[in-house]
Amino acid sequence: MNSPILPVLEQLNKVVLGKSFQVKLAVVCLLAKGHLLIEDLPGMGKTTLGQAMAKVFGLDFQRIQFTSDILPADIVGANIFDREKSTFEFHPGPVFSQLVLADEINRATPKAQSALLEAMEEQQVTVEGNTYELPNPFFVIATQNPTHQIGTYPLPESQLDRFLFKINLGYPDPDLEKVLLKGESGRTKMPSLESLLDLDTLKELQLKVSKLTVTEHLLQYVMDLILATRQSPDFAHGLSPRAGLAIVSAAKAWAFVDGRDYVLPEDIQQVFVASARHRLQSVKTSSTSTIELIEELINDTPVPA
Amino acid sequence: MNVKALPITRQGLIPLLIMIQAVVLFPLWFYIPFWISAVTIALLLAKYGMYRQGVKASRWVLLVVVLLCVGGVFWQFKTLNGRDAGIGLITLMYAFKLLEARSYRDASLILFISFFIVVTAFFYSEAIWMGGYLLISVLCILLGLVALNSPKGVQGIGSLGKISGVTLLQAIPIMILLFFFFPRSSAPLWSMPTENQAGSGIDDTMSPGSIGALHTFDDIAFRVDFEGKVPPRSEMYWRGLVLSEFDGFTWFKEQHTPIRQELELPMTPTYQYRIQMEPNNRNWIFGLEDLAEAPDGAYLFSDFTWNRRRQTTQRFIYSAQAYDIDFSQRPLTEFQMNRYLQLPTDSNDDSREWAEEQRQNHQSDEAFIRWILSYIHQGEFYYTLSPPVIEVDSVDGFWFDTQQGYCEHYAGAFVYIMRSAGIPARVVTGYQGAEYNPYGDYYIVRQSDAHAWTEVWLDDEGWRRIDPTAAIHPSRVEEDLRSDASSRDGWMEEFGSDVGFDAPEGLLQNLALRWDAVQNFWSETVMGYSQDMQFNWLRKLGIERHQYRYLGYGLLATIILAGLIFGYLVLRGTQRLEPVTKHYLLLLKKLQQQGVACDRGMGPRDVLQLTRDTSQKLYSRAAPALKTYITMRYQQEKLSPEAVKQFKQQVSRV
Repeated sequence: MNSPILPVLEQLNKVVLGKSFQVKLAVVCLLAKGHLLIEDLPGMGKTTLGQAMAKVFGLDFQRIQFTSDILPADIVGANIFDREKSTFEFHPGPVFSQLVLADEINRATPKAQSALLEAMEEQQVTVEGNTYELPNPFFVIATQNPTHQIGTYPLPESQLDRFLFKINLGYPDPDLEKVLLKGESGRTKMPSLESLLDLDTLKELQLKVSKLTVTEHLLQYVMDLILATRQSPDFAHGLSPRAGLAIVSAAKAWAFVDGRDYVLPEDIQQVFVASARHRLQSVKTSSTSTIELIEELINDTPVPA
Repeated sequence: MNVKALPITRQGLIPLLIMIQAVVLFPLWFYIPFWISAVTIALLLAKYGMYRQGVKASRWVLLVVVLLCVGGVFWQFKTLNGRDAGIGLITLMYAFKLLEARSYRDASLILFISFFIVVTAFFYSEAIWMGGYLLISVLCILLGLVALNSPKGVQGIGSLGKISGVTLLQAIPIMILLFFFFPRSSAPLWSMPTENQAGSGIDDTMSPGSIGALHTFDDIAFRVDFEGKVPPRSEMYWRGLVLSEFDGFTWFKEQHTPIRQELELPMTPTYQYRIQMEPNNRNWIFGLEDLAEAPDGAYLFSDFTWNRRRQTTQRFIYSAQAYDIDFSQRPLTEFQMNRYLQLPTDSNDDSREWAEEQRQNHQSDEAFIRWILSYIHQGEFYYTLSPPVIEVDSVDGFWFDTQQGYCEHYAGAFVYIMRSAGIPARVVTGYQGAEYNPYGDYYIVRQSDAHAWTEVWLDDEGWRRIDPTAAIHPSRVEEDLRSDASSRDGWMEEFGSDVGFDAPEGLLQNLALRWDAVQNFWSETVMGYSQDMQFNWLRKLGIERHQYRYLGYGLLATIILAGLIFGYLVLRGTQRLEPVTKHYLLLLKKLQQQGVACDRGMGPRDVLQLTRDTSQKLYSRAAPALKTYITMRYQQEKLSPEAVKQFKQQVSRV
């Protein structure tokens, strides 16, 4: 089965060079109706990725730059007095958009952060008693600086849980970076991108993804992995049932992108690190990072035969 | 992760193996021939260099060097058998094995051989420090095993050390259990070839200066444990040899025969003791006077000395009973009389004539002996370690001219005079006295305690011990010999020492005694845990000697039973699996055996991919099975019996 997503990936990889795995994860995230958290230093192409995705999927795009003085009203919108009509009129904020890029989310105060995160969870915004539906599809790409940088408010664990994936982009390959410096990719190519899917097709794809075959056997594997995180002495606590749901739906999307209508243990393995790393906390003080510990856990957990 | 498939060149494994080999070989380097030590060191360095450079040893070059080394060992020892040649060969092969080590199997073989080589160091020394060092070596080898079986190799020596340390601690109860209960063989497990080393300690001849020469040696001759009563130090005469043949200068051991039948002499037991004797490479062993029943492995000879059939080349532990023997019931035979009166006729005439003359002035033998002793006591006789050298007629020269000597001068001259006067007499050599170790509650007898004394035959009494050196006046005893002399047998009370000498009780001496107590515990209780000791110990638990073999049967039965239970559990585990699972696991095993580095952590599609990367041929055989498996497990909820059957067939074709 040839995946309808292949041309999308092809387009995106032209703009974001040498990051095919991360690009694939971003697309998988969108198909699985999740939100994406990108943690990286400034200038790694986070915004480029967001913009390119909006364009390719034919979504309208808004960018919110989070700063320490941003207020919830700056994100969700506010009631403003209309002098002519003598009434308060709701002016929707930038969050009312199909693809929202929340830049440097951990620079904002917890109050502003939770305004966005509530919107993500509820798919709606409530301002002074009135509830406003957010558009569908609604996809948030949040970026954050590594938390050890000055002037950051790390997101609490409960809010990290709202993101399906957390990924790093990392430095590009030196050769590809040279191409980038020549000005032959990145934002310069952005205008040439064409919208490949319309809104209905995207919704249809999302529906298809949710209906992929997942066998008993595969669920057993997911359970084994989740139980392993709960039993492992390396982590403060294990994965939640919500995390389990997230992993299964992400794996479905991954299998779909790969052009299959059934999910394999390999799909779980591909999405597991990205969906588990922000939900698990390493208790080890040694240099082994959480990612390495998770990879080790995947290696050590046998796939049900 | 399947660590067996990982390269052994990962993360510091090779340097660790090199280090382990160095640790294991280190004690041997002091004992094996120099060139073998040098070759093994060179091989270790070569391995390190090759590891750093990433080169592999050429098999042909290796073969030639190995053959050269085997030739070298043969040339050195003229054999490939025996302890030294065997150890030389195995250490070389051990180092070569690392040089050609490429796989997990090689590395684990090296580590397991290390456990064996570690033990060979005990061939050369059974000292306590060797035991401690070997324990550290074992810990290092365990560390290597843990690292070899960890996917990350040597990462975090701390955590690796923790695992191996805990493993070692867990093994301690098993070790103690086996130490106490594992059946011991009566003979040593490996028989030690006799070393042609010179004997140490008391010799079977005595000439002026021979025992004095031992005075400077502080080496331990043996240690003694008394059970119950302890004799005063002045009565601790440790009998070794009887010398009765004299050639005018040197005294020799007599030809003697073992006493095979029971002694029919009246005797009363006095002291019960146990001796732990250091190797002296001689046949004779020592006992507290009077000696009677010989300990296991030794014979009593007609002159009341003990001999072993084999030389004492390893520490020898024996128990014995001292007696007071009444010899008066059995007079000397004519043959014996002649033997203990025989003198060479061509030397020491003055002494003989003098003795014959003096004997006329005394009524009885006993009175004559008393007179001679008082003659020594009152005359200008000196006890010294550095007497003037007498070249001929040693007795004449000593008795009339120099009058200075060590115990062998006095004993020799005394026996000569007795024989000249018609009193049967003989020289006895051995040790006198002992040092008490309060920390271990035992006595230490050193080479410096070597002594010679005499026995004379009195018709109504039998053999009587006379120590002529005890008669020397204390003021004429050389300073550093006083403490020795003052502890000697005062046969005549009036000659008893009137000057008390106590050795200074310094800190150093205390430490030395404590250390000796520890060493004694090690060599006697740990290394010397023999079949006899095990029997005694088991008897306390209620297991008699004849039930001993049941212990062995029990142990064997436990091992077999444990194996059966383990096997049953393993089998039961596999039988429970459903057919698809069973065959998929079988398939994975088959692939692993054919070189695909797959493991349980991988999904079926990755296995498929890996198989294709490994071998195209294998892929074409294995792909159908793997594809069927994927369909059955991940594409359909229901399994059809036909599909299962098909899958089984496909697996069987791989």
